[in-house]
Amino acid sequence: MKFDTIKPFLCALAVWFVFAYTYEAAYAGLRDNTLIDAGKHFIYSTSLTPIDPNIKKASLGSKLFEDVRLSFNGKMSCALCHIDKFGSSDGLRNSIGIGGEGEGSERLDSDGLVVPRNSLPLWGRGESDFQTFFWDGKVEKEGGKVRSQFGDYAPSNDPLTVAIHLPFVEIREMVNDDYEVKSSLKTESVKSAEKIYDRLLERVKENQEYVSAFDELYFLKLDEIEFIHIADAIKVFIQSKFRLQKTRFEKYVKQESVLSPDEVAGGLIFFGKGKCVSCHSGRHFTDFKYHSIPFVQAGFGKNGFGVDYGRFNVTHDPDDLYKFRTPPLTNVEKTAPYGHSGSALTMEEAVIYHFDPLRLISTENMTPLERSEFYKKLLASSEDSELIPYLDDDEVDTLILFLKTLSYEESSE
Amino acid sequence: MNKRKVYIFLGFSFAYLAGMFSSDIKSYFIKEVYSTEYGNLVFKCDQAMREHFIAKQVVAAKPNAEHASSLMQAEIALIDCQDYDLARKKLLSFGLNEYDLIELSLRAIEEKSEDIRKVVEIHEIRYD
Ligand code: HEC
Ligand code: HEC
Repeated sequence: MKFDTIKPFLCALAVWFVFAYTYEAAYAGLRDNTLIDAGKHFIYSTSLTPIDPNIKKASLGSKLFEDVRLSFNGKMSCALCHIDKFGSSDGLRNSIGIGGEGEGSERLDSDGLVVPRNSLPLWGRGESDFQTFFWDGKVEKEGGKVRSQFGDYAPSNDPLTVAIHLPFVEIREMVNDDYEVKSSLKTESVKSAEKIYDRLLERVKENQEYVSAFDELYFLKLDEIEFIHIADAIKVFIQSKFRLQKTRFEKYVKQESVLSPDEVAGGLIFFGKGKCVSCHSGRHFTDFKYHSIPFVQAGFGKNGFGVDYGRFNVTHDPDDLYKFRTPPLTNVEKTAPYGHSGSALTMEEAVIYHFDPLRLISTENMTPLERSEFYKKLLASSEDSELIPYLDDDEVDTLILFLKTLSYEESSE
Repeated sequence: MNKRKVYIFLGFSFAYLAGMFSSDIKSYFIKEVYSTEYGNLVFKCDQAMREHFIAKQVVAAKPNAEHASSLMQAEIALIDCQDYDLARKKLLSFGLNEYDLIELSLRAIEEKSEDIRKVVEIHEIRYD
């Protein structure tokens, strides 16, 4: 065949390709633009003043964070539950406190006392716009005041500093649950808390390295060091180690990087059909409000016997039964298991619990009490779950691809 | 008749029939290949339109920031209807006609509803 004969065909083919390509590109442009606009509107609408933590204070805080002497029985430290490799959460459904040995699932084999909530990661907790702490918001800043179980005696007007005070005195986390402690401290009252702080402070003061660090960084003589300074150093450490960093999604919104078509599809579900952003909004991917999502309860529960009333424990308002603070989604890929009791083992399960919890539980294997609790949770969630429509498996898969773009890029150290 | 003539006759008849039904044959295969994908899009777009309608009603009844934000999300979700439109155009360009597409929609709807009245209702809304 002569070239001349096929020339018209080749031309036609070329024209067709160009046409198809621009068509596709224009369409991809629409999707990208929609997602970028949504990201700007719902997530990155406010600009954040970057904090500049003092590196030396952070390094002092880091030592305190890892120091087991800062627990009542000398075996526990913050770092043991907020471990790096699990995205600074501990990789267990319910955390194991005093008495536990080893890291992650090794701790399950030891005879530690279980803390009835899933450990929270610490990413972004040091930022100034993060003011509501714990699954039930038991420490939060409202109207310029920090509300917590310290009542009017809050050690600080900074909610993170107050939050850092709590693990040291919370039964089961860092205080031994033996008979003596039970009878004298279990009330978790301010007075008994002070007793513990005094004892831990003594231990810090016995350490020459700490004493000279406080002298150098805080200009404090030995008898001027107080527990609040320990908490402050840990706070600076959290601000520096767990600071917010750019994620692939943020780079995408700022047009510094691209996402794959599937990731974009997942993002469009996150901001559109899935309505995830009606709760997981803002740069921490949380509205800092309380909602009930019918995650099944795993473990003993904060209220015991498999019951966790969530926000109700703080406000005693019946409308708050079974509600929990919307969890931030920064690095969510790395913080399995999920939910306040860690009952969702994968991101997929976590997403499915929002709109189709019955798929994940076998009601016939539950005790009547477990079922009864689950009905109540379903009822409590009815208002919120009206929001989330049915998603098919492909949609859940793309959503998860999108959730993975909310991780910090490697080499975050 | 000799063998040659039979072959020629058969050849012609086959070509004639193939010519006559070629577009139907093509349509048949295209419909079989795309019916699931297309049906899925019909369902998704329908769902997105229902959600969007509800979100609009909610804003009209109680205008506030939260509901406005829900409406924005429902608008983003309409991207599924964009996908549906594109699929329609694609199938039309492959040679299917409006009736073929209606048939595919009906198949999708029937798969999901047992009640023929529902089929008619949805059908009316979409194609009137
Ligand atoms: C026994 C394991 C354990 C230990 C030890 C521990 N934590 Fe936690 N941490 C948890 C759990 C579980 C939660 C969630 C509890 C809840 O919300 O009820 C949590 C939550 C937090 C939060 C709130 C995060 C948020 O998103 O609101 C902060 C801050 C925190 N821990 C800091 C610390 C510090 C500082 C220490 C050391 C003094 C420490 N933790 C020791 C398990 C532990
Ligand atoms: C009505 C508010 C609301 C909506 C809408 C919502 N979530 Fe959630 N989400 C929550 C709450 C509250 C929890 C924690 C529930 C619990 O632990 O009991 C949660 C938990 C999660 C978790 C587990 C996080 C962790 O660290 O444990 C993931 C992942 C998640 N949501 C993703 C999504 C996705 C994806 C969507 C959209 C399909 C979505 N959420 C829609 C409120 C919401």
